[in-house]
Amino acid sequence: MKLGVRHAASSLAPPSRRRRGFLPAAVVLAFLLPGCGGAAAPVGDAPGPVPGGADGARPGVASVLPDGVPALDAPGRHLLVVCVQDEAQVAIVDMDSYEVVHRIHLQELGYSERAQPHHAVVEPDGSHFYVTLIGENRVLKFDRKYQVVGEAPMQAAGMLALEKGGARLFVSRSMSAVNPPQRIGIVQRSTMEIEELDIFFAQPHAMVVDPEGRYAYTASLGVNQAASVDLDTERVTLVELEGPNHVIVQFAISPDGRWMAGSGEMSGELVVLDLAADRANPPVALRVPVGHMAFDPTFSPDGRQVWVPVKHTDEVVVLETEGWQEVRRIAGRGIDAPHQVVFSRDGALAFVSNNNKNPHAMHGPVEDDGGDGAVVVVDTASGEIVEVVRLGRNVTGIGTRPRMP
Amino acid sequence: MSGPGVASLVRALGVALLPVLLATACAGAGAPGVAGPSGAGMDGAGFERDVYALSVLDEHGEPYTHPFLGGLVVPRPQFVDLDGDGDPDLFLQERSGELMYFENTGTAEAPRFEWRTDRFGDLPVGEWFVFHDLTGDGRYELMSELPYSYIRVFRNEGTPEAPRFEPALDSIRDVDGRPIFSDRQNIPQLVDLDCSGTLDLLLGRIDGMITHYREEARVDGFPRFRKVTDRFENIEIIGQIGSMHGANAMAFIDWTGNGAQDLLWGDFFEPSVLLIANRQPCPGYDLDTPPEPLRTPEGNLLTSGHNVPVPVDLDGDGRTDLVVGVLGGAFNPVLTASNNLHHYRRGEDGLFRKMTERFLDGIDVGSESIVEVGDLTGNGLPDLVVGNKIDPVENRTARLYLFAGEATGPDGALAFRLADTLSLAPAFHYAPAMGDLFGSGRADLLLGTWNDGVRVYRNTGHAHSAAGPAAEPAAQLAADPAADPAAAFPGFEEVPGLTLDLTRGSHAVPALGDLTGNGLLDVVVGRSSGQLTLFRNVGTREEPAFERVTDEMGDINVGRRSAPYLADVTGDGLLDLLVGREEGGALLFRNVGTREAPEFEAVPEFEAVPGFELPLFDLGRPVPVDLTGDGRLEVVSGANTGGVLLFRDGGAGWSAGQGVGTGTGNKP
Repeated sequence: MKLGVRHAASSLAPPSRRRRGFLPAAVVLAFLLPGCGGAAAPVGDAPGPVPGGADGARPGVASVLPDGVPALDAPGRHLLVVCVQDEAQVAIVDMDSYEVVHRIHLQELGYSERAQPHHAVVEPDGSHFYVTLIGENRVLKFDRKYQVVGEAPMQAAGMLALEKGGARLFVSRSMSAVNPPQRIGIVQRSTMEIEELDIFFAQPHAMVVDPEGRYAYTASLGVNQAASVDLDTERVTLVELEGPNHVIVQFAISPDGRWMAGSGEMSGELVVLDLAADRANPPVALRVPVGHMAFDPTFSPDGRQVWVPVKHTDEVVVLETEGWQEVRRIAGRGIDAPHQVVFSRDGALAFVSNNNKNPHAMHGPVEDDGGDGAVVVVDTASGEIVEVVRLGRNVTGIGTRPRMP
Repeated sequence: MSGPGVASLVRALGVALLPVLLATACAGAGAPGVAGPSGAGMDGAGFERDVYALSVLDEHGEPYTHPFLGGLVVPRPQFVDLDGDGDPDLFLQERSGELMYFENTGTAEAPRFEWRTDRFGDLPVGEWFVFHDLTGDGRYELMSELPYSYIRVFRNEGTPEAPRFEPALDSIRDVDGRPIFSDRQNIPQLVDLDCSGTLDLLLGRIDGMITHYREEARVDGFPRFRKVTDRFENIEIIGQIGSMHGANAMAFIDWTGNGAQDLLWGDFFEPSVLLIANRQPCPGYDLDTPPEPLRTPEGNLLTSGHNVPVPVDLDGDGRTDLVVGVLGGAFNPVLTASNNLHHYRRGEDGLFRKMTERFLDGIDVGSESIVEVGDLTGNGLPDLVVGNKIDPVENRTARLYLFAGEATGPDGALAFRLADTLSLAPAFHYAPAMGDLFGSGRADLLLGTWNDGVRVYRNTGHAHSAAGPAAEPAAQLAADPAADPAAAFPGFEEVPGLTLDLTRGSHAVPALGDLTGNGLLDVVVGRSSGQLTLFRNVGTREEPAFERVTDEMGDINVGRRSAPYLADVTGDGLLDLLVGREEGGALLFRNVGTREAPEFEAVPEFEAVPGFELPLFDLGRPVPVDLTGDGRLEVVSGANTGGVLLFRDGGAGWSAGQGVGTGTGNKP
């Protein structure tokens, strides 16, 4: 079987090799770059409570950088961190105006054109954010002014999850190695020191932490198993996932902590686990067909819906959690190989990242396929596409400041 | 594969182990069970791997061809006649950055592959390798990954008979001098598609498409390429349920016999090997054809996915056979953890007959094997007990594989036979340690587990009357893994209330030995953190009781996944501590205390001792024992790759006469 050829023609920029032992140099370089003035937060600047209210504005901290770029924690601003994987860039998008307010060019920081930023999470107070570079085998820590202030090396780093109310960052594996370690990474966010925890199965990829901060969960790409990690004892419990080969890509947990939904790339099912029944070993409550190549699911802020990007059909499938019925499939302009969904704080808008390349290509570059990926803004009430923000080749992970638990 | 005579072996074992047994039997006498001259040298030539030291028979009574190879989990093979003798040699990558070499010492019609090295030329090959004559001088260059994702080239500066590969290019480049990237999890290929005398470079992508570069120039003899397309021949591999393709490997070969290069493809989401036929011979090519899975008489060739197809004519019949490295993809890699190097022979009907799933056959119990040695069958010969992480047949538990020691051949050479398997508890990651804990004179069992601590099992005695080795091989084991273990080995029953729990962490690996001089066996437990927990035996000879002393024994931390063993390897009468670990190799901690109050000081890693090496694979647990009866200690070890390795003493001076001192008290 063949698909039609999709023509596009951007070529790679001239390659530059990342400098070895580069971090100090990279950080220094970042300081020297135009528009990157100002002192960076110290590496050990630990995330803390949010003193500035709901928006997290911190008294005495400049919210606008010298070049006019809003800081990630600027009061009243809602910013989206976007991985543009095949461009080795991280874009910052204003979630109200849909403008790109800043771009981080990783090559300018000494990383290779194949750095492949893949997934991003943001501290609740906006003080820092973290990005996995699956082509560089590491996790980067940026401060509110988009400066690299730390990194943690980890082979085939994949997905990220913040410990709610805690100090740790959990990191899973990508597919960028033949046989990556069967462990997840546990990073102390303040120091970026990393330890690894044995998870027992191959290819632990999904990564999520429950709202209470009691358990982290991951799942294998190769076997029908998930695992819970007791965050107090770090005891790992295997969770059997019934059904066909799922290849769980990512989990999402409902805001009330009741449900955990996993997207089955191969099975095309959303696997729903009942955390209320057993947080350490949750049973599968039901399995809902959504379509092959189901990717990162997300619960709406009110917990009434789950949005599931489905790459195979270029749709976002919306399910009501009351009865787990499908209520809508969103398709159209810009939705091409949808990857992840982030909601605005009030839940009125959904921001959908799109690879805009052939399915599953987000783990590898495609130079002339599909053109620029996009973040597509969707009105959650009507399902209408509000805006398409083209950002570059292979838009993958997106993150914004999560609502405080 | 000959071994020593039983008489000499027993003599050797007796010298080495009798004191230990006596010490255990005389618990309370304070004898640690080790005596002998002190000062065993550690300045020798170290330990050397011996794949063929002893004969080992499988469950059917057939000898493994590579008994102590160490197992395979993700084998990536290639056949190349590197030495120019007219038959294909085998190169195989199992571990990142290392390349195994098997010389074909047979013929083109009857190959015989013999292991030569785990690290061919000590070449750092990253995640993949490909041999190809890039320069057209009749000698193979070696392409491999330069982390991350560059294509490095080594050139043979030696001869075919004595190859010596030296770095030649840091990266294959395009005509503009820019490096060409190849995703590290994929294996690229070179082929002359149009018979033009120039090379085509094909890079499989994770989306199921192929990027095509064509040679357009030569610089210093090496080709420079220009990218033609990212959608070579419009090929997009479509799986059973959609287009979802991950890490991949491919091969070009004239499979259909029309003189054109066809394409074989395997990837993470594909359980078979796909054939994309080339319909047009040179000077053209046309691979715009539907992928078809390769077929066997029983149906499609199927595995757990991510197959690496390697066409080769192994028997010189002019038909291309197929060797498939099964890396394991989306179809439960556990199922192929031990059977993952398949050999298919192509029949005249074009179908493939599976000849074996273990092309390099050796002890292989899946993954993360841990070995213990002791006489369980009571015949005076050592048996091998090998635990795994998870059973490839029954995925809900781990399993112990019991290899009975027996005398074979006219000279009574020691051999092992896979006689039974044992699943004691529904737990993962079995880590056995044996010793007489209940004063019966029999070897009881400690069983470390993944996250259920260390369980204690009492040896209930032989379940059958014969004191010798198992009368019949457990030929039914493969089909019936739940076969009664008592048929060949003694039964074990768990002792409630004696489980040793870890305070924190997982992957408990126990070791037994009397460390406190009271004649009772204490327990040292390795765990995921790399530290060691010490449990002191405060019970009696008949009723052990364990009391946790410390979770940070001696402040020892070997990195991750400590796997200890107690033995007097220095010959001073005190039990020293050998510790394997995740990153491979082992650390030796010499006991510089007393029998009653030992202290452990860190001795640098084996390689740090001049001339001394013990190159265990990752996650090995070293067990020093004289199996060959030559009076010197070998070291046997499991590995992350699921097999068993045996190392001979190349000059370390660990003689059996100085006492193995395992402390397990279970040897004859």
